[in-house]
Amino acid sequence: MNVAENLMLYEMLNIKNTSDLREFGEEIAEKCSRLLYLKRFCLKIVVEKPTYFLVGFKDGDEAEKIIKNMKDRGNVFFYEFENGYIYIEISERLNCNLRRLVLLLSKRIEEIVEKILAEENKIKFERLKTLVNSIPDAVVILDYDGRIVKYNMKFLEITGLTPSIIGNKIQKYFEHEKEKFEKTLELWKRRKLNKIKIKIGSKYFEGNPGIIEDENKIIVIFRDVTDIELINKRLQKLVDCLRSCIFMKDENLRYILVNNSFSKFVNKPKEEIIGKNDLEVLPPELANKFRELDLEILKTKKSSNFEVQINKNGTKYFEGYELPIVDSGNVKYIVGVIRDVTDKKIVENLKRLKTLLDYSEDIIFVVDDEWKIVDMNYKAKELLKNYQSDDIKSIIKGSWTEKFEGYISDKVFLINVKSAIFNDKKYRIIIAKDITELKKIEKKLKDMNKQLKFMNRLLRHDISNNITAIIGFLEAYRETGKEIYLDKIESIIDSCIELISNVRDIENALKEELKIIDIKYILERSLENIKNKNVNVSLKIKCDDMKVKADNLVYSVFDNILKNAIQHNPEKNKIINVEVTCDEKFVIVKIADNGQGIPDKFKKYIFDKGFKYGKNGRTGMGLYIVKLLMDKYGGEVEVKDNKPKGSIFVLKFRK
Amino acid sequence: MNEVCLVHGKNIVKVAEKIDFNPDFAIVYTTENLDENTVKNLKNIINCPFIGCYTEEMIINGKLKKGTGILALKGVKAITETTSSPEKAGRSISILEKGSTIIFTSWMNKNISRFLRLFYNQLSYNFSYIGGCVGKYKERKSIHFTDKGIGEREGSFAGININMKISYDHGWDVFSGPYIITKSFENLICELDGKNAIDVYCRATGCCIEDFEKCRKFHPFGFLYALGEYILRSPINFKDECIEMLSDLPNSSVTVVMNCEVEDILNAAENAAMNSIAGLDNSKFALIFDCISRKEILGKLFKEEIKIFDEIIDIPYIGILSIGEFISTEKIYIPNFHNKTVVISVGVY
Repeated sequence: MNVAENLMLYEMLNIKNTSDLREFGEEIAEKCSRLLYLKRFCLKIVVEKPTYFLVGFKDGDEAEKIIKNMKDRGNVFFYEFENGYIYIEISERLNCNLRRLVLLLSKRIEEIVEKILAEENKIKFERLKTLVNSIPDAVVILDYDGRIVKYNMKFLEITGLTPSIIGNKIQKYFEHEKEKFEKTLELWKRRKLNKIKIKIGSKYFEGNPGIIEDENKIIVIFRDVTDIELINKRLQKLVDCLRSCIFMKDENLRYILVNNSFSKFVNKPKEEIIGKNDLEVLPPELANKFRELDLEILKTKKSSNFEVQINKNGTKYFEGYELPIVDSGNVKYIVGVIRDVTDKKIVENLKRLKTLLDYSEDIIFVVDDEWKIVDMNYKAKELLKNYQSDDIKSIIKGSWTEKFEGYISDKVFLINVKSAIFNDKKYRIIIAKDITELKKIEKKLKDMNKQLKFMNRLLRHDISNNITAIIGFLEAYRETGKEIYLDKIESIIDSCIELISNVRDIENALKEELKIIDIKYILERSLENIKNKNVNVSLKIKCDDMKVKADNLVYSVFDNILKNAIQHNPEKNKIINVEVTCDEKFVIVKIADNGQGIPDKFKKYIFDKGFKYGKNGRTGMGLYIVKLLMDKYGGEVEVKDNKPKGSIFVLKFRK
Repeated sequence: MNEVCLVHGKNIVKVAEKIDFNPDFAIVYTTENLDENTVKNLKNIINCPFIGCYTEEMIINGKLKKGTGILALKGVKAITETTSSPEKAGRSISILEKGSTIIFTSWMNKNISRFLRLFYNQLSYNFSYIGGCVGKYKERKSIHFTDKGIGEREGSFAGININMKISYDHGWDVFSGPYIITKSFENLICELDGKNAIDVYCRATGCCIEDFEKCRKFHPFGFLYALGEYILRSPINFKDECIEMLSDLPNSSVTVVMNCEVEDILNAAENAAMNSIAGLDNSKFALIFDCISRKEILGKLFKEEIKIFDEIIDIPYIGILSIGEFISTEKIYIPNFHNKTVVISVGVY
């Protein structure tokens, strides 16, 4: 080597003694830039994160990318060491001397980097030592196994330990808290920095851990929390006295305080609740509800009310509120209160039910085990105004089953009996639905059905018979040419027409509505119609007002009786006397004739459907219609013998 | 069409108006005071990127001149920047991908080596680098500018998309040493070989402290540079028993005290000029950065050095008296800070 090379070697290796990494890196970069035919240069030193000293590279990323593909070139020198590497790229091929020179430089760099890092660690350690001693609280530094690395005097003071504890495990000195320490150390190893609370003598200390990243150590600062602990205990006692469920959660929504009621509420001991979140403590549905509520509180920083219903072993109702405790603009804690409001809810529900029952159209009774009425709705009260008894079975008559038709005074009820248990007592709820009108309609429907069946028979059977007869008489007329057969046919056709007319009347009788009708005019008109049939008619009205409950078919009543009186009267001098009288309830119309009369044995049948009597009997429907209509009008009809002969039809119309 | 125009005169605006084409780039030197308005007016007239500085004297047509000189180029692409961030300037110029750069800054800049390295990191070896510290040393006034603005402590940077061949020489030789700088701070050498730096320097040069001002001109320090060469650095003063140097010092370095013969200095100028144009076919213009201290050393003979330039460089050229020079070469890609050196770059395109 010549003088210049020797000088360069000296200068290259003569690096300023510094503990400042940046100053060191800059010096190397400057030296290489000046002394070598440098194209590009990179010195990478990794302390926690990489630091690059660059020449000819824009940044560390570009350097890493390029260096990866350039290492083996003839003009490149690359040397990697524990804490980084050096990359030198010059403008021409590296000769042996230069290669040796930069190798020496690299080794020197490696040596200095190690020294700087060691120096830095030493400084850090010293800083730590100073820091530990400057903290007024008790401080201990542990490795991850719990071995004591460093401590301050305050730590010795509060623990009563002697200075020869370095290197020993902390658990050893706290036998009563050994398990707690081991569990907590495991958490700290996993970087879960939970606080540890220990008792030394009569005092409580809370250890706040922190990780010293570079050294894989844990620094624990102990604070005397005896006062806080005592207050906490008193607070715990206080909240345990309260019937409401009380809880407190931290900002991570983990329970930090709960009272006995809450413990009972979630059916878990307190130890299993503290430090856990809702999902770990409550049933999923409830936990999710609380979580939503909590997140909303964290966001809005406003308190919130809630209601929950739990359907386990019967429905229970709870209501409560959550309140945020805000510090420096952030929610630090959430305090919550939950109250069991099941009884209140039941009372409310019963009140609501009672109101609903009072509005019900049905009659509802609540009776006890001995069928005594204990409660009833408004409708029932109205119904029982005149009853003194509280025995339901004496009020509702009938065959008592779960569902039956019963009677209260003159009304029919459909009775439903249900069993119920309130507060462990057996009750029955009796619901009585008034079906009186329903029953009437049912009866009416039954009657109508009968009428329809009868009319069907008339139309199907009687008219069919008449038609057969007409065909027979028609054939006889064709064979004999005698007019008598035509007369018979005409008579049968009249009978058919009358039958059809009767059917129409019956049909109308079923659907016509009752109204107040003055029957005087109708009666006079009916009598007028028969005057030209060689009948001597008289009418005596001994009544001022002939207004009755009837309908438009009332003429049929008079027409049928008058027609019978004429048709069944063989006398040439036919007499019909009509007399009208009134009493309080009825207008009574008596129609008397001088015909052959009705034998007693037929009297009870003459109003039956299809009953025919005598040779002039035609459809057997006339008097049936009379009876049907009079029944509908709420009136009466009867037949009596006339003196010296004939019959008297007495019609009693309800006013 | 590639064109070069060199104009000179007194008033900067009037000189600019003399340019007989629309230039794409211009290098502007002036010995006249200038401010932002002057630069704005200049920008309005030449309407292209330009870089320039305030200087003691200019070298034009074989003479030292006062006033304003402009070398205007057509057919080049240029990007300029005046900023205190060499990285920012580098990023702007990197759009050109390759070419040459011109850098002006103040000698009062505390760490010129780092300043140059940060600029190099953005552009790397795809560019060549010339320039220097500019201004009037006696007035303690350093002004440089581009079309983007005017600067003092900051830097003015220009990148052009053409090659520039750079030659340099100084003509100095080792006089005594080596000495090890055992104590230094920023630009102060306080101890050499563990002894008072001034004492060692005076002993080495044979000067007494009273003669320091005279002595420092003839005996700069030499620092090792690229395997066997020396970078010169001028002592400028002494302060609290320390020798004050121009800008920063190489750290923990070995140094020698240099000496020169007038003849060697002139030979170095000739050498630099000859090398600058040797083997070039399309050389279009030249830029000269001649250290002002060479004028102080050569005295009246400095005219000879300028005459040498004029005789050898047969293309339009313009130069300044610099207070420190920035050089990169075909082999030494990274620009370094030199003193007492003549640098000639020839534009080829």
